Formats: sequence, structure tokens, C-alpha cells
Amino acid sequence: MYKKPLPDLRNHEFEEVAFSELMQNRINKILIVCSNYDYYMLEEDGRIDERIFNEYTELNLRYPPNFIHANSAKRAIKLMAEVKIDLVITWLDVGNYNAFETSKEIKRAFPEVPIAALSFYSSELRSKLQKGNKGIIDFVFHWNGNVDIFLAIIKLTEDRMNAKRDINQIGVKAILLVEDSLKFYSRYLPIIYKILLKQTHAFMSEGLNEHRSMMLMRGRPKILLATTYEEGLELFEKYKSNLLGVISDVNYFKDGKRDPEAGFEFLKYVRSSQRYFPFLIQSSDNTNEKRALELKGKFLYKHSETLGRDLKNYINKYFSFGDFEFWDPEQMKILRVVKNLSEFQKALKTVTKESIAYHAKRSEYSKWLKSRALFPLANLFSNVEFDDFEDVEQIREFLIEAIRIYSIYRSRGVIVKFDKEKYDEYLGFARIGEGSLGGKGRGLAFIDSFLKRHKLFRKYEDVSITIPRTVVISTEVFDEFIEQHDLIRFAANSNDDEEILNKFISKSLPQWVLDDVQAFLNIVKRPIAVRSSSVLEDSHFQPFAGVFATYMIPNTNNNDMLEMLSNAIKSVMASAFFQASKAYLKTTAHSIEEDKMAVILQELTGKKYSDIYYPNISGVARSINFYPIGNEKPNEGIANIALGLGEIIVGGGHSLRFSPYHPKKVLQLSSTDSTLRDTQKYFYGLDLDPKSYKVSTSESINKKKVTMRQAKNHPSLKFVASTYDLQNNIIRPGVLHDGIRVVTFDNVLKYDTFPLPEILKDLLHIGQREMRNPIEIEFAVNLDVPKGQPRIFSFLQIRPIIESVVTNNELPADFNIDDTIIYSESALGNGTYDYIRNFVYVKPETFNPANTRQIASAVEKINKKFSQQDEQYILVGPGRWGSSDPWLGIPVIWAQISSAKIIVEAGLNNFRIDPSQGTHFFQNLTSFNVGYFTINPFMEDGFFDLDYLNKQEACHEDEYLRHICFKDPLTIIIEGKNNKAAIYKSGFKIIKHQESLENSINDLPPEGFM
Amino acid sequence: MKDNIKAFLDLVKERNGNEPEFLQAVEEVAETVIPYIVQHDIYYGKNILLRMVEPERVLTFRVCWVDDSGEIQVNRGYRIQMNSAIGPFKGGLRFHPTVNMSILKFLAFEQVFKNSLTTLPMGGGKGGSDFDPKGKSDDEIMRFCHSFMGELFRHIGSNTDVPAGDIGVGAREIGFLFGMYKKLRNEFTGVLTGKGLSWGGSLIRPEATGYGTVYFAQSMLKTKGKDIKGKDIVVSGSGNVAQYAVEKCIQLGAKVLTLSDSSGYIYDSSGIDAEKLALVMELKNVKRARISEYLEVYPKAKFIKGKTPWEVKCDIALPCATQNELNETDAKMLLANGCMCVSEGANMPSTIQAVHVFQKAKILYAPGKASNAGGVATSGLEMTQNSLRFNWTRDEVDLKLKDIMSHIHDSCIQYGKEKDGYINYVKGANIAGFVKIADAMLAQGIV
Repeated sequence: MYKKPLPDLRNHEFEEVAFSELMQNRINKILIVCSNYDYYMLEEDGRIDERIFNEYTELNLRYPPNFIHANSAKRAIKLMAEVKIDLVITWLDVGNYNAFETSKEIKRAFPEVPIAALSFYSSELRSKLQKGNKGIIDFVFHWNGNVDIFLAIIKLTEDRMNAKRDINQIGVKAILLVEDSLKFYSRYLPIIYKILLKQTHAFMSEGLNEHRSMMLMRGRPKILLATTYEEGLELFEKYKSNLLGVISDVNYFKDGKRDPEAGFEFLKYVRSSQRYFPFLIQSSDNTNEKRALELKGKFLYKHSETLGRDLKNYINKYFSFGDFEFWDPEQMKILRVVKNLSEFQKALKTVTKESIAYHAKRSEYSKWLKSRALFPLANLFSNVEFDDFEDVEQIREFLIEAIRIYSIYRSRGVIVKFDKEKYDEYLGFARIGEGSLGGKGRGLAFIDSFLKRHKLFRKYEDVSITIPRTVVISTEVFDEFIEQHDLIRFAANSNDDEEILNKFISKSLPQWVLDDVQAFLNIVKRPIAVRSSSVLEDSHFQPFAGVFATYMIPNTNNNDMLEMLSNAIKSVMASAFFQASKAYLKTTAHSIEEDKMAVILQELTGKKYSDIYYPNISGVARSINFYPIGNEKPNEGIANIALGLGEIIVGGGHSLRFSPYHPKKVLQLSSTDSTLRDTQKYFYGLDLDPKSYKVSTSESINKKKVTMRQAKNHPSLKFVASTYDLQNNIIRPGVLHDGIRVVTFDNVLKYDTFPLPEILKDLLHIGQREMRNPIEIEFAVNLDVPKGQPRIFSFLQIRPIIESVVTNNELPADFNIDDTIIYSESALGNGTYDYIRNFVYVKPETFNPANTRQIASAVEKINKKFSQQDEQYILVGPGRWGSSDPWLGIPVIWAQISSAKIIVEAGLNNFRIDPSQGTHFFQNLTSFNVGYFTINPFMEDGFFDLDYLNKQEACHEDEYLRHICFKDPLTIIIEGKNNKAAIYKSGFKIIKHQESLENSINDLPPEGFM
Repeated sequence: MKDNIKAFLDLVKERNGNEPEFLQAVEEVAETVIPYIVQHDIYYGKNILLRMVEPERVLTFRVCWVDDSGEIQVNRGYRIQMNSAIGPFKGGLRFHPTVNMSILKFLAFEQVFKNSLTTLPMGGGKGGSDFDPKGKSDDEIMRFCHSFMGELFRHIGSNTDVPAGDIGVGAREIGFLFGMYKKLRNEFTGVLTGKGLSWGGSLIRPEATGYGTVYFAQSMLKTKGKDIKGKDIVVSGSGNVAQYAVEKCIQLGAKVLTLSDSSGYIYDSSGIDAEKLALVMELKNVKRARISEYLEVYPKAKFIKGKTPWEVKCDIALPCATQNELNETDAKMLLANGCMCVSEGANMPSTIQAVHVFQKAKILYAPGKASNAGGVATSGLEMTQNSLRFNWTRDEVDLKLKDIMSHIHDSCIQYGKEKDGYINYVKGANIAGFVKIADAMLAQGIV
């Protein structure tokens, strides 16, 4: 027999149900069209508003509707023109024949608005409705004075309005009710709805947090009402793949006439294709029970005293609506009852094979999941058949594994409320306490949600893009801790970081927090980073190496773990009051009370190598590149990566710079020499010896600096290193040969063993769209994973790029080249400088390439003066600054020009040299944010007003150089995004203009995207 | 004499007016060689120098290639075949955006004399392109090299012209160039030097310059009846040249006191032995750390921050760091401390003034162009091994290197001995290089 191949769970893409898109059409305003008297009765006696409101609250429903009254068609139409009405309810009573006319008029004017009618006398109505009045009144209900009917009307109308989209497009389940007795269904519908809503409420615990639970509510099963055989059949055919079951009367219209067999016919029809489909016959005639059972349906007596309870039992049992019951099919007894997915998964491990097979054959797993609105998992199960499996054990494994993978999937992009009883390894992001997550915490939550929205988790084969397992201890805990121990005054007044730290450490965290932290520790298997997440952080775009602390602690099975972790948490809280933070608060005009701290506990991405722990790659990437070289473009972005912990990058150590669009063109790896000189010589890892962590104001207390030599036996090197071959003077990719190991990331960047450039392109592009601003991201990668498991790309942080936000680096719209001393269209850097007064230039008239060494000494001398006075200057000279060949430019080394903030290489007519564009000093330019311009005015590339300078009085002049000290600082603007720059003449002021950078960045989302 | 020089330079200037680098190089040679020519009838009147400053052949050619984004790029390729009087043209290829005719002619002209001085049968040449390998991908570099060789292969050959690497042309580029040459010519010959060890390269290349510098010092000492054994030696630098100079000094029984880098120098009064050198090699090559870390293992040594080692008392100084690292004051200090021999491992480490101090004091002083010719020499040895189709062992190459350095030294003595017996190695090196070529040109007639 043909077996369909089973889905590959590892790479299964769950289809997300957009719960927020469910129930798009809601009834907010109801127009009641009736006489004033009827309405008065309804209002005063029935207190409809209040009762509906109570009903809604009791059932935990949101958005209770409002009621408006109109006493005539004319009034109703006028009202409806002014206010958006979602449903009209009218009374059809004997003696009030106008009601039909009224409805007709309303329908003509507003054909989209459904109309429901209430009536005391059901039998007369039927004939009326069938006499050419079809299509005017959508539902008719029997009014017995019970306001419950309004709830049913509203819900039934909403269900009908949303049925097509929600059921067939999204997969929401439905129950089909075929019943033509007005009286009966009017009584019956409110009962079913209440059962449905209450049951839905019970499974909301699957929702991980309150918001998600509310969303799940929208996925509750719908009820579809049919009053004739044909109508029932049509609905059945239309929605059958998503129907939980049918509840049908026996005697109703078929082929235009009342047919006492209609219900059975319907049942037969259903059974002809679906053996186990739940079908409930209900009848006021007890004798029909036998017939129903013969046809393999179930039966319910309409006039039963316990109709409500019977119905509830039936729905729970056969529509898979309540708890799941594992049955022993031989003895027909219940083996296990489970309430939720987690219990379900556990039970699957232990119940008998026979039981698993019994439920599988009846598709009851998927049905149960569907009725609990766990659609993605249910859809996966309903796509496999019992016969696709080799044996029952395979089914068991499949179910358990699928639930495991789904649990992980489900928790992504969701901030789970931490519950120490329920916290498990599948939960990615949880929050302890009700307060704010802080800036960094919010950033992480945002990343998590956008990874999910853009389906990035599994976009790349064998790669998992994710945030590390995270728990945020919200600011509530911080507040409680500070308040409980009365720390604020002390912390505000103390100027001694050590003293503050020790005091904080001496106090204990609230017990409930410690319990939660212990629950977290029980689950976590890797070292933990404890990071600060101040509420002030993202409003001021703190750099990563911010003023607040990050501690890392190894995770051993040591009993002291809780103490160690709680100390680290308190240390982070204390850091809110350290000198650096206070100074920072002062400059940003914030008070100490505003500075609330959430604390992030995060699993550290990486692996243990000998006695330390670190990721194979850490990195920072920016979506805008202010120092593009070669064919790089500013908006292609730029990345810096390093082996080990990311500290080395933010700390200014050697890392590898590459453009995600040109990963095979790495400046630092251009030659053997530059590879040896400019690549990483050491890296940082976390010391796994628990004794290495001590309470300290220093974050680096247990970060170990490891040289490449010390790490020569670490298997991590095979992913990132190449080897220097001395005899041949070349760099060999990989670590197969003996020799010096150099961190080139060749395997990743040149040989594509990991799609890092593509991932970064994606994340920078999407991140920039999502933030509507150029962004910087921080990430870590673990490539060293057991065979068959995906490599991990951990997305650690995202933030807008401060330079592009705070300052407005654009040349004015009315830019006039004559206002400038120098204008360049080939400038590196970004920023506006308004504090430089010193202008040093090599005099073109005395310049001779044979004298460049002497000029270098002259420059050195003048530079020394500036560095002593701590001043900066503009340096202009011909040819390539820093050239090793004295014929091509002035052969300075960085130390000789270290105080220059703007460096210009200016070609001369008789000295036309290919520009270096700063490549000699690249590392220094980028780390010190130095501007580097290239101009060749003789060929109209850029502009240089030498006459202007020559007319200024020099404060120093020698054979080669001229130094002008301007009285006021010059204005310099470097437009990083398109490499233009201008140095303005003295006294020129720019009138600020409002256009911001974001408007010119390509690929911004359409308006209203956010 | 001055008139002769001026007249000559004016003529060269007239013909090469827009090539300042080349003119400067010619000027330097003319100043030492013209007086010699004037004194020796056989060269005088044969316009020998004028013939030397005119390249035998100059090639420029188009190099088109496709970059990674599919764009067509066009660069200019050059080969200056300067002089083949004593052997096939030999000289590096340089890939750098600043490459132009003037620079290559200047380099080729210098190469002619450098090669001649090694006493090996190598003419002089230089080539390259304005292609910038910086920031290019491996594939782009390969495509460029293939395209470059697509034209150059017509003009080179193991008996015609043997290019080597230079700035921007390392073992990787040589590999790509050689691969294409082999494909086009369908022959495996030693047409390029700087090849990988497994496909025609020679051993001892990293060591050659350092070893050669020490061998040269040893030869110089011999003229005074002295030996390097037991001498106190001060070495500057800590890169390849310095490391292998120290290695050879230790092997020959000398005591090395110092090593340096840009941060300062270390002074180890008990001498840097093989074990300590291994540490330095690890520090500099593997850890790429500062030399001062030497003290962490050998705390008895001293680290003198921000200074050069020329203040240390020594018998021999080997400047192996960088150009202009040894100035007049340093030179005087060395003399005062009893230094009797300076052999340059780096290119032009002593300033002109320092050189004058040494010469005036008549101590043994060897300019880099003679004492660091070991590097160029091994290039010649690679050609020889390729012709023999045989790979020498380390010891064999080392032995040949020692011989070559000794020959260079002999040539310097031959042409540098002053009337009072003092050997002016600067003059000797300049003239020795010239004479060998000039003699060959005379013998070969006016061609």
C-alpha cells in the first residue's frame, strides 16, 4: 500500500494563524427598530445594555456592543447614515406588519447590514418568510423575554459574517446546527454559545500570556445555522474539512417540503464519506434514538430535563472540546485525562499502543487540537494518515516530536509570563514581574517578534536564527527590591561604587523572585549573561558597551548557582547608581528615580572549549557604512566579526571588517602581510571556573583573554581560522597544515560554509525597515553543533544608529561651492564638526615629491604641538598620506598625524597620483571617526580654494607647511550616506533644516507600515 | 667631472622629462659611476651609461578582466626589460594603483645593479600593473592574473625574462600567473620565481636576508683577521630579517644582546640563545605581541621603552628594522661604545649622515644593497634549481647563499678599496654592479 512520506519535522514550517486577523467583522453598534414601548420594556425591564455587558464580562469577552433605538424606518435610515450600524434587530409581531416593510427599506438602503428579527409567534412567521420575503431578514428568533438571545444573535451574526474567511482561509472550526424550529434554536443557541465560550476560556492557558490568550479566544469554534436540508448540505460541503460536527433535527424541509426523514438523510449522506464524523440527532420524538444509533449517529432528546448538561457532555466528548481522554479501546475505559498540550505530550509517552492507534484512526488528535485553536499543530497532524506510519511506536514518536517542535515554535515572538510551575525548555522569552522590560529587553522582544513575522527562524538550511533563551526580570522587581530595603537615598548619596555594590549584595531579592530564578536555573544548561536593561536606554540609544553592567556567570551544577546569579542580578541593579551612570544621567537631564533597571538573564551562545566558553563568531553589523571602500556602497552596510565574546569588537581590538554584499573582498586579508598584521591576535572567553566569578564592579572579572597560540587546540579554530605558511609566505585556508593560526573566517566568507553574509543582509534590510532608521545589530554564532542539528545564529540586540539620528549630517539644499574651502565628492566618514580652528596644508608651490620625507617630519612636529594642546586640525597635502613609497605621497605613520581630525589628499596638476582613500590608516580612521577626503581639483573632481587660504595670515609657516589658526571654528559636514563633504569658510553658518536622513534611505516601508 | 655628470643628466632628463623617480635613480648611480668611467678608458666614450639608462624593451599592454559583479575592468600592464647583458631579465612584478612607467623604470634600473652585484647571471627588469589587489576577492585576483599573463607570456621565458613577486604580488598571485603561463605555453619551466615549495620554489627564502647579512659581516671581519664567534652583537628589529640574523649569529657562536620593535628594545646581557629566540619568534610571529613581553619569561632582561638599541655597547651592529632607524647620533654612540662592524639587514637603515660617520671612522660598514642581497640571491638559486630540475636541501641552499655573500663581498673589495686600504663598501657595491654589466655589454658589441 502506498505510504505518503512523513513530513520532515526538523524543517517543518508551521503555518502561523494570524489570530489578530480573525473575527475582523465585529458587531459594535446594534440598532433596535421597534416601537418606543417595546424598547422601553426592553430597557427598563430587561436592562439590555447592562445585561449584555455583564454577560460579556462573565464570559471574558471583550468589546460589548452598544444599543441604539429607532422607532421607524425613516428614523432608522437617517440614523444609519450618521452612525455605523453593524446589526439591526427588529420585532415581527402580529399587528405590526409594517415591520417587514421597515426591514425592506433598511435592507434596500444598507444591503450589507444584517437584520435579525424577534417574534413571539413563530409559526405564523414561517409562512410569511417563505412568501417572497427571503433575503430581507437574515435571522429570525423567538423572543421569550430572555436577554440571552441577544448574545446568541450577536455571536451567530458575527460568526456568519466571518465564516468564509476565518473557517476556510484560516481554519477555524465550526459546528453546524440544522434546525428549523425557531423556538427551539432560539433556546438552544444561547446554550451552545455559553458552552463554547466557557470551554474556550478553559483552554486559554495555552496562550502563554494574557494577550495571546485573548487572541486565542478569537479562534473559538463558530456556529453555523441552517434551517433546511439543502441549506445544511450546502454549509456542510462548503466547510466540511473544518467542521467539528453536526447537530441536526430530524424533521425539516427538504426539496421544498417538510420531510420527517430529513435528519436521517443528512446523517446518511455524511456517513457515506466520513466514518467517524460526529453527528448528533436531536428530536422531540424519543423513538428516533434507535434509528440514529443504527445509522451510527448519537441521539439527544429535545425535551430532556438536562438538555444543557447533556449537550455539554456531548460536545466535550465528541467534538473533542474538553479535556482529552485517552481510552483503552478493548476495555473501553479511560486511561488518562489531559487538560493541556503539555500534559498531552507527557501522556503520549506512557499510554498504550492500542490507545494511541484508536485515537489516531479517528483523527481525534488533530480534532482536539483544532478545537483548542492550536491550528498549526492540528494542521500538521491532519495532513498525515494512520496508514502513513510503519507502526504505532512511530506514531507515538512523531506526535511527541511534533509537539516538542511546535512548543518551541509557539513560544517564539511571544513574551511569556514567567510561571515557575510551567516554565520549560520550550519557552524562549519570559518575563518575571509586571513592570517594564527596559530598553534592551524591549529590543529583544521586538527582535523575537520580527523574526517570527518575517519567518526568519528557519529561512536558511541548517541554521536557526533566534534570540537566546531569555528571562527579563522586570522593573517591578527592581522597585520592590529598592523599596523593601530602602536603598534609594543611600544609593543616590553614595559616591563609592564599591560601597553601593556591597550594600546591594548584602540585601536579598524578594523570595518569589528567587523562586522564579531557581526555576529558570533548573532549565538552563549554558552559562548565563546577566545584562542591564534600563528604561532610559533606548530613548537615548545607548551604545552596547553602555554605562550599565553586564556580568557573565558559568553554569555549573553547583549549589551556589542561585547565590551567584542573584548576586549578579543585584550587581546589575547596583550599576544603575554607579558613578558612570550618575554622570550619564546628569548629561541627559534625568533624575535618579527615573532610572529603573530591568535585568536580562540570557543563555550565552557558544560552546565550551577546554576551560572557557565562547561563541565561534561574535559580531556587530550596521545597515549604513560611513567608510565604504572599493565598490562598497554606504547603504549596503558593514559588519565586524571576531572569534570569542563580542567585547573585543566594542573594546576596539582587532576584528574582521567585511561588507555583507562583498564578503569575499576583505581589505584586511588583501595580502599575507596585512592578514598577519591586522587580524585577531587574541580573543575573550568566559572562564568556566565558578570561583572566577566574584562580586565586583568590573564586568570583565571572569572574562579570560586567550591568545591564538593558547587556543591552538580548540576545535573552534577549524570554523574560523586559516594557517600562515612561512616557507611559502601564504595564508592557507583552514587548519589542516601546521603553522600560525590566523582568524580570517575564510570558511564562512570565502567558502560559504555558513550563510552569514546573507543572514546579515536580510536582518539589516528588514531591521532598517522595521525601525525606520539605519540600525546596528549585535549577534553571536555557534557553528560547532552536534551533527544533524542546526547551527545557531543568535540575534542579540538591535538599535538605531546614533550618528544618523542625533545629528543631521547633510549639506544644505542651497549648497554653494563658493562658500567652501574644500568640497569633496569622495569623502569617508560621517558627521558635523564645529570645533576645529586649525588648518594645516602642504604648500603646493614648494612641494616636490623628492622631499616628502622632510615634509613628513615637519608634519610630525606640528602634530606633536596639537596633541600636547589636545587640539585637532585639518590636514591637506598632495598624494597618498601614509604611502610607504615616498614618491607617491607623504610617508607619515599614524602617530605622526594622530591629531588630525580631517585629512585631505589633494592631487596636484603635476602630481597626479591614484588616491589611497585612506586605506593606509583604515583602522584608525574608523575607530577615531576621522574624515578622509580625496580631491583632484585640476580635473574638476572636488574643489579647493587655495587663494582663500593663502590670503589668511599664517600663525606658523615653514618651507613646506602653512598653518592657519582661524578665530572661529570652521564648519565641516561629511554626508556619510553619499560620500560628500565640505569644509566651509570661516564665519559661514549653516541654517538648520528639517529633512531627516530616514526619508532618503531606500527601502523604507510604505507609510503606515509601523 | 661635475660637467660630465651634468651634461649626462641633462640628456637623460631631456629624453625622460616626465619621469622624476627614474631621473632621481639615474642621478644617484651617475654620481658614483661617472667618475669611475672617466678614469677607465675602456668605458669612456662608449656611451655605456647612456645605453644602460635606455631599456632594451618596454612593453605596455591592455589587461581586461571581469569583476565579481560582472563589470568589465581595464587595467594597464607593463614589463620593462631593462638590461640582459649578463643573463635573462629578472625582476619583480608590482600590482599597485600607483604603478606607472616612471616608477617601473626606476625600479628596473636599480634591479639591474642589484642583480649584477649578486654575481649570479641575472639581468634586470621590472613589471606590473596599476591593478589594486587591495580589497579584491580571490577570484578577481585570479581572473586578473590570468588575463595579465595572457599577454605577458609572449615576452617571458626561463631563458628570456623571469619575473618574480613584488608589492601586491605574493605567492598567491605567482601561483595564478604561473598556472596561466604553463597552460598557454604547455611547458613547466622556471619562468617565475617565488613559487610554492611543492611546485618549484626554493627553501631558505624567509631566512635568506637575515642569514646573508650575518655572512656578509663574517666576511668583513675576516678582512681584519677577526671572527664573529664570541662577539657581542646588537640587532634592531624583530621581524623575519632580525630573527634569522640572530639565528645565524647564535649558530656561529656570537652573543646577541638586543632585539627591538617600534615600542622599544630589549637588552639581555646574558645573550639571546636559541631558546630565547624561539620565544621571540612565538611572540612576534604567533602572538604578534610586543617585544616587551620577552621580560615576562626572562625577567632578568631589560626593556628600554621608546629607544633604539644603538646605545648598547657592542662589537657588531646589525640594523634589521626599517629605513632611517640609525641616525648620526646613534652612529657616534656606536663608535664610542667600540662598535667595529655594521652590516645592514634592512633597506637603507642608516641615514646619509650616519654612513658618513662610519666611513670617516673607517669602521667596517656594509650598505644594505650589498649585505642584504641574500633575498635576491635565493631568487637566482630558485632559477638554478628549476634549470637543474632538482631541489636542493636546506643545507645546500644555505651553503650556496654563503658562497654568494662571500662573492659579493669579494667584488666590493675589488672595487671599493681606497688607496689607504680602507674598504668603501658603498662605492665597491655600486661599481662592482656596474663593471660586470659594462664588461658584458662591451664584449657583446653595440646591440
